[in-house]
Amino acid sequence: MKRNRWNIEYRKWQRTTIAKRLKIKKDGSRRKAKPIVANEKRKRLYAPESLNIFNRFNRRETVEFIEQIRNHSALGYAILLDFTRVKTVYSCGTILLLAEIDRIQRILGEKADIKSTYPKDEIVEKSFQQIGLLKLLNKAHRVSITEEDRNVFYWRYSTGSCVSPGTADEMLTGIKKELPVGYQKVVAGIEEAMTNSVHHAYILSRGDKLDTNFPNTPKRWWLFAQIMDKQLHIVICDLGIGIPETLPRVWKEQVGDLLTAGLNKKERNKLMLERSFVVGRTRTDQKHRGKGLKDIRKAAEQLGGQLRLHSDDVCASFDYRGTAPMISYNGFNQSIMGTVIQWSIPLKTGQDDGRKND
Amino acid sequence: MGVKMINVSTQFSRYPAGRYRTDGEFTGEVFREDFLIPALNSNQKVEVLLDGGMGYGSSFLEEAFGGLVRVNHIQPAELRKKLFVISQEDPSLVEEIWRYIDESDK
Repeated sequence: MKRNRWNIEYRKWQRTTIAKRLKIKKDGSRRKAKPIVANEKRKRLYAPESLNIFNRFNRRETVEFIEQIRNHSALGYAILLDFTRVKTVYSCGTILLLAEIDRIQRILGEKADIKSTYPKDEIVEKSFQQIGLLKLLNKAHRVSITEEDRNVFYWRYSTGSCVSPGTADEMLTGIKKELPVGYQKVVAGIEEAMTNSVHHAYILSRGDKLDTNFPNTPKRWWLFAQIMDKQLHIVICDLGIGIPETLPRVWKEQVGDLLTAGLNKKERNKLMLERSFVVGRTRTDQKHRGKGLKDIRKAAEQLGGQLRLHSDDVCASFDYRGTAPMISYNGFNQSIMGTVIQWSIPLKTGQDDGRKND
Repeated sequence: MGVKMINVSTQFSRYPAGRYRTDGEFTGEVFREDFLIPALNSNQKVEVLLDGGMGYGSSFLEEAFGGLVRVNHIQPAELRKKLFVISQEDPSLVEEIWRYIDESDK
């Protein structure tokens, strides 16, 4: 079958496939979702095939899965997370899942009753084991991870609740070894992401039933890092209210126009995210604040890497690998209820420069 | 009244980060109040060596050095006579610090 827009057969096939994915019936109505309860004693929640938040379909499933975990935990249910269907995991979706489970367990303590199955896919199991998700869920480690597991072996995980990059010392020292020239910019970017989490992300309650201790909610961040194939990948996450919500409260003067412009939420949030990279320049009494996101972006720009920032229901992408930077802002239907920052920095240039300097 | 040298990475922390005291253990406010101000008050010249630190975020630098003007009301001209910031690993940090000091005066 030829895949072009003029081929009627192909277009029919495409329509049916999309309808299946969106669970739309022939009459246009949505099918009822399958009940999530498989046994009365413990709620079984099925993890989606792909854990990621940048693809629209997977994002919806990932966010809904996490939402179910949060809601059922808040209601006091015992939960069984069924990972058997998971086939692919991406750092952005995995860190969000891990952070939410960690948050629930920290808030509810012994009352949190979350168990899980092992994933069927071996790579997925290795990934969950490596980043500490299985340990968090009290599942014994049953596979060995070696350097041959290239996509898994090099991931490192850290978390903290104040601006304390020293808690990720081993990880950051590893970055220094691999990036002898630009490591300070990367570490400074990580420090600023932590500072942003502590200062801004948790200024309002998330509004879920678990946030009963607000404003004494721990201002926690979660961090993944990986060095592989001359690329440094860093993912940092917080579970605050998201940049589009914090910005009008912290920088009312500079974004006030967006609030009164009559924009829909998605458009407004996209512009809020765009504005978040420039606020802090002109406000007289508080000009010393709000430089964090610029540091983060500068690190990607100066080191020729990529930056993706997911916050609430929007995403900003910066690609500085080519001669001209590529920048885009996208809106989604689901909020991730937090912020996830992803960097990819090429190590080759820095390493070569470092050797020349030696 | 002599010359005081502060090596940030060995005397304070390899990971100086954050703005306010409440942010963490090794923040800009802690460095300014516990290290810089006492050193500036009791010495003619203060040298701050940044080399060896793992990274300096703008929040730390602005609060530590810009705060000298904004919070402690020391004039930039006076700081230029007394404060010497040294960074051989990343000389752009020195420029950045002086920019924060000058901007805090406006």
